[in-house]
Amino acid sequence: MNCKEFQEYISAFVDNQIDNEIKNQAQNHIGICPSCFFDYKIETLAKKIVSTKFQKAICPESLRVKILETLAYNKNLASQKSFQDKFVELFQKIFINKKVRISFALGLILIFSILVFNPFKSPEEKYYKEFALSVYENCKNLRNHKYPVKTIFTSNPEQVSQFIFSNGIKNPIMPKTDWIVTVAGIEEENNCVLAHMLFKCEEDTVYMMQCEVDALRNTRYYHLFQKIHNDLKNKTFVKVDHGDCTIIFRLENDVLMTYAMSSHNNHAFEELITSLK
Amino acid sequence: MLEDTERIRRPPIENLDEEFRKEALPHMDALYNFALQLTQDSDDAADLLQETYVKAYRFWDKFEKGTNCKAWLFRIMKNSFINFYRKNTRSPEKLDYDEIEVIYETIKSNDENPHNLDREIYDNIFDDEVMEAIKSLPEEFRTVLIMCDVEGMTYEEIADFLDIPIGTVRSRIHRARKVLATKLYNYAKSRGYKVDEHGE
Repeated sequence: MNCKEFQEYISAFVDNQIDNEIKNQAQNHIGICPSCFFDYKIETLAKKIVSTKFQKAICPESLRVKILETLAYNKNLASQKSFQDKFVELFQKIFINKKVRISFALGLILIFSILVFNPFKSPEEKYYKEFALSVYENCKNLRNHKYPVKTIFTSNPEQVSQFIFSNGIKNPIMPKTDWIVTVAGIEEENNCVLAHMLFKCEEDTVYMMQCEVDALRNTRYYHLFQKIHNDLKNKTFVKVDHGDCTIIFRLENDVLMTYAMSSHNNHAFEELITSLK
Repeated sequence: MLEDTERIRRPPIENLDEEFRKEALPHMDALYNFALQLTQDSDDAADLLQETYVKAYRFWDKFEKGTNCKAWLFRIMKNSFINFYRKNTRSPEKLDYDEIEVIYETIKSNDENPHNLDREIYDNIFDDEVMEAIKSLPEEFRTVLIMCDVEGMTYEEIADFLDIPIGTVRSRIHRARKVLATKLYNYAKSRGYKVDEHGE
């Protein structure tokens, strides 16, 4: 072994981290080379100093307690992680199967369609209920009248005028306008006309309120109106109870009419139903 | 003093994983030391130690049972230090190794008897000065010295831990000791001079 080789292994020689053969060669070398022996002694001294005089700090008790508390009180540090891992693994295990994936997708579609279309509930029933609610809201103050409140639902202004005139109201004020009347109603003895959203009547005068047809078309009532209109084509009438009010839906000359009346006035209703039949 | 001890509550360590308690917790002092060496600041060292244990506990299931837990913890600490602390700590002192080499060669050429030198330095040096000298070493030298001479790690463990070839571990330890010895020689010499002065 020459000096250069010895210098390469000197630290490992001091630390006894070399195999016996190199160790023997190094031992022989320092026996004959004073310079390398000096280096060896200094290196040994440095090691001795560090290993004996290095003041090992002791972790302060307060820090130790703080760390242990952090770990102990957050024991889900570990479990949380493994729980997540387990969940992901389980998820992957289940979904690795193509069939499972397809059935899961189909199941999701099924649940979604049930939520949207709700086949367990007749859609017509839903439409009538909702429309009845709006009729009820508009004839609340009329529901104790002797006769049913009759309302016409149409988007044709001529049908509205005809409805009003045929029921004996004279001289209605019909402002010239591009607006189309969609709803009109008439009450007993022509004294009062039910206002839906669009007009009201006092004595023999009808005040038409204006409604933008496109705006109305965008409302859910227009949608309901169409659905109910279609459904009634095959029926004489549909009776819906709402609160203390009964509402009858009926097509007359292909125009949607409703009759609304207090549920307590059974006699008037029976008469009406008989006449409709 | 008594109040202080009373104030320290006993943490519910029985909540902890039993193997973690047996394997990882006993290395807290060694890790604290290492943290001090890395950060050179007791507050930073405390933070680093806590972060290391929290990480170790979180990833305890990743620790291969039966392997060297201490080395595993040291590695976590070193990575945490690199990620979060290195930017904040002062940059290590620049060391002119060539200059040290020149001084060392001068000492050598003074025909000093290595046996006397051993006694002269070892007996005249205080622990504080040793700590001071170690502290002044560049971090790469300091780390290998602590791992080798304080923590008793093998060269292979150090190479694995620092991810460097074993030849680099050998040369780094050798150079670190040379620098340290030179510094300590200067300390001892200055002390020897003072002693003489007082003796007069």
